[in-house]
Amino acid sequence: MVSRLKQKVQAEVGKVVVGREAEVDLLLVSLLAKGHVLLEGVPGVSKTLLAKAFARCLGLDFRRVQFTPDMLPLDIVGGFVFNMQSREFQFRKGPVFTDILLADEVNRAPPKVQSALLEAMQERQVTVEGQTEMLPSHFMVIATQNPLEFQGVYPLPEGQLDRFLMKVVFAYPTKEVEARVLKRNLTELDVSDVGEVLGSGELDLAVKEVDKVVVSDEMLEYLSRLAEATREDNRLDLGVSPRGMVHLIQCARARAFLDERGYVTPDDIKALAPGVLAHRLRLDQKVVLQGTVSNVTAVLQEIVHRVKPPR
Amino acid sequence: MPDLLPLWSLVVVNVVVYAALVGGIMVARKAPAAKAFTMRAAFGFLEGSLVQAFPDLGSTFTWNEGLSKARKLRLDVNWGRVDDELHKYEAFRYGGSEEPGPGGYEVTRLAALLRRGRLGI
Repeated sequence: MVSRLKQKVQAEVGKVVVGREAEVDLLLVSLLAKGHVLLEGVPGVSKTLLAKAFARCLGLDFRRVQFTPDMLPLDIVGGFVFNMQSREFQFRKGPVFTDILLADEVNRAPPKVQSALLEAMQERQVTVEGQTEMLPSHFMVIATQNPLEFQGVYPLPEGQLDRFLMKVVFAYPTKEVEARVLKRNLTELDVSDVGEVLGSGELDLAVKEVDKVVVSDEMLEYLSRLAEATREDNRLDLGVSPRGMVHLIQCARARAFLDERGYVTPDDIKALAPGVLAHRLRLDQKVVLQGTVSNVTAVLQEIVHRVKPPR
Repeated sequence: MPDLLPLWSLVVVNVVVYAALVGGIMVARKAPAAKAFTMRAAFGFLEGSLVQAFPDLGSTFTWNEGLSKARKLRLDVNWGRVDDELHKYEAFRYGGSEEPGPGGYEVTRLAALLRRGRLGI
């Protein structure tokens, strides 16, 4: 049993990133639930630094790719190059062959590149010219996007957003946290200060433990009622997909494991629903035009508040 | 002096009666709950108390949401024991563990204190 994993990761990442404990927890939940994360936030709120420190403290390989409009799929997944010595084509692996891939500004890449990346995320393998290459077992994409950019970007369609296990919104820090951030930055930040918290094979063990966390029938019934409520709410055009609910269950199990529980509680569901479900929902345009509702997360919170959990 | 004897005996009787009354109230305040309670009954009792004490909780609260409100009241409760009983109950309720035997005393005490607060006693 990997004990106090959450606290250990928070402590190590906290050496370089201040006041982002909640976001660290969500990244850890996503990793253990074998999913990918979309980070949304304006530039300069420690998204990249957090991802680097997170990978380092778990002893995982890390690569960063800055997405641009002129990219091609082979820039991500790799492709065949001619080897002059052996006089044959050889597959050269792209940056996707890593444990943690930071896809910076994913919405700047054209749809073909996004599709190639999302396919790799879904299948955990890459196929080029008929040759299939498996990705590392802990492969995880942390994609970022800036919510304020509208020009020269290709917004991810709903179907592709649904592939992200979670969307984590990076808000500006509070006044108190900002003061701590500024103080922390008076000395140079060095990611190499972050120590590894897991020994060899411990992450595999943790992932296996997550699969043993119990989800009772009553909890499953509660989740079904929650899904149905999102589909029946007339303020929403698009409710939660079955895949979304499967993702929510897996995240809840990971959260329970991190809290050293062998079972999922309604608190897990309520805590994770906004991050796991909100980006899969779409507001009805009539409601948006009427101005009665502007935020899909608020609608979701209200639905979660309405559905009675088992007690 | 012998004339004052009935008066003094009356004073003594009064002291005994009032002391018994005050003692009884204090004992009732200290241990307001029934001793033989099952965990399920204790949490059933707590659910009703939370709903009464915090009408804004609605009917869809989780145990932790309800208890976090109760914590703010700074009641004379052993919160460590409440948390322990909650974990046992949740393990039974959501984790498929066997139903715990008699218990839930601290949760019952908390529930009773919440009701008493509501009644202004």
